[in-house]
Amino acid sequence: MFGGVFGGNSQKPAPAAPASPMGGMGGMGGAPGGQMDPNAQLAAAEQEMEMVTDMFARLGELCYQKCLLQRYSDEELTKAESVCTDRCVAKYFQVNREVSEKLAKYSQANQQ
Amino acid sequence: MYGGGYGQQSYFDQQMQRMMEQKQLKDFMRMYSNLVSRCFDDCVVDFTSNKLNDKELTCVNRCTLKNMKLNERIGQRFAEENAKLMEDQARMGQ
Repeated sequence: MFGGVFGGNSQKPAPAAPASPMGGMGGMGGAPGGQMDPNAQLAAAEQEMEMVTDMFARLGELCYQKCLLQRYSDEELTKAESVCTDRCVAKYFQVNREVSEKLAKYSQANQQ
Repeated sequence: MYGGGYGQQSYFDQQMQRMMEQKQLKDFMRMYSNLVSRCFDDCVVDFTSNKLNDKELTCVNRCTLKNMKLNERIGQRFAEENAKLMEDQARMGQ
């Protein structure tokens, strides 16, 4: 699903904010090889990127709500806020996995 | 990666690059407008004047910097989690 968007390579075109997780489309299209129609491949990459940026934006909002909301006594993240953020992201992914597993099981059971 | 077809490859790369740049710009604009509404919402409380007062100004400055740092951190963790997820998927696919 998320195949290769964060392939871990680091070409980073200009206007990307440090906030952006975009790290270049490292492994994109690596697996199915060149047989796929380039246009379809491009469309797939675009959709995938859309999904990941969307997820990132939502995650940003959620972890802000959970960990930082209206606390500006300082411009630095406190230790507690940093730890909270790390956990927030990890748990968000965990919830994602749980939900997708349960959903898969549920829809499988309903099909029979 | 793609045997032969060098011309097509570079056209594809160009398209990909263009798409990435557009998306990144859009992403940046979204981040920017989110930041503005977040800091406005969190900091601006006094409407007895049409200028930000000192307290609000300080708050806006801190809010901007702190939220940038927050986003950066979320981005790092996000990339790590996403890499982990991809590894898992690759393992399951085999």
